[in-house]
Amino acid sequence: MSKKVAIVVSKPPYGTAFMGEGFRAAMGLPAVGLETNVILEGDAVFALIKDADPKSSLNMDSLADAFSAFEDFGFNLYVHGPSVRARNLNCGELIACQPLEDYEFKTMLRDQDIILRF
Amino acid sequence: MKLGFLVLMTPYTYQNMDTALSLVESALDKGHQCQVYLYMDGVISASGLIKPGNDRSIPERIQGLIERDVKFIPCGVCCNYRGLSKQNTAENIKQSGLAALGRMVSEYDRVITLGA
Repeated sequence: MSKKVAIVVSKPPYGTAFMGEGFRAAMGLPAVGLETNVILEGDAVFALIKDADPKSSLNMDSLADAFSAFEDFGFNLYVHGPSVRARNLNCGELIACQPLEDYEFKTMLRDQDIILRF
Repeated sequence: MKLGFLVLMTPYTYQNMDTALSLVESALDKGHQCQVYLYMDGVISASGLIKPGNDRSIPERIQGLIERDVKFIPCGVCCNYRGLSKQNTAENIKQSGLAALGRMVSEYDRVITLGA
C-alpha cells in the first residue's frame, strides 16, 4: 500500500516562494507512487481565487491556473473550510473547493504517514 | 528508524539548518539512519563557497555527517534559481531532483520539515 503524504500550505500565494514550492512538491510526489493530499489553510486559500491576475500586477504566474490541473498531476486538493469563511470567501469564488472542517482536517492529518509543511 | 529532514531555509539567517544538524547528530548517536533534503533556500547550505570566518562552521558539520554516511541532497532546480552551480556545490554533495524527495518520503519512517 502506498504511503499517504499531506502537504499543508499556510502561507499566502505570492508574497513568498512557499506556495509555489509546495505546489512543485505536490507535482513530484505522486510520480513516485505516493498518495498526495494538498491542504491549503490560512492565507493559502487565496491561491485558489478564480479571478486573481498576478501576471499583470506582479508578473508572477497564476497559482490558481496551476492548481486547476491538480487532477492531472495526480494529487488531491482540499481547503480548510473555516479559513475560507474567515476571509469572506465562498467555494463559488475558488477554482476548486473541497472543504475540510476542523475535525476533518484533524482526521486527515492523523491518517497521513508523512506531513510536509510549507 | 530512518529519519528524513526537509530543510527549507538558508543557513546563518535562520537556525533551521543548525537544528537539523543537531537532530541528525543525536539521531545517529542513538543508532538511527538519517538523510537531509535541501529545498528552497535550504540549498544554500550545500554551497562550497561558504566562508563563515570565526563563526560556527555549518559546512564542517555537514562534512562530518557525510563521513557518517548521511546524505545531503540539494534540489537541483532550487540550486539553479539561486545560482548554485554543480561546480560550486560542496564536495560529496550531489544535486538531485524532486524524485529524491519522493524517495525519502516513501522510504523513510519519519520526515521532519524545518523552516515553514
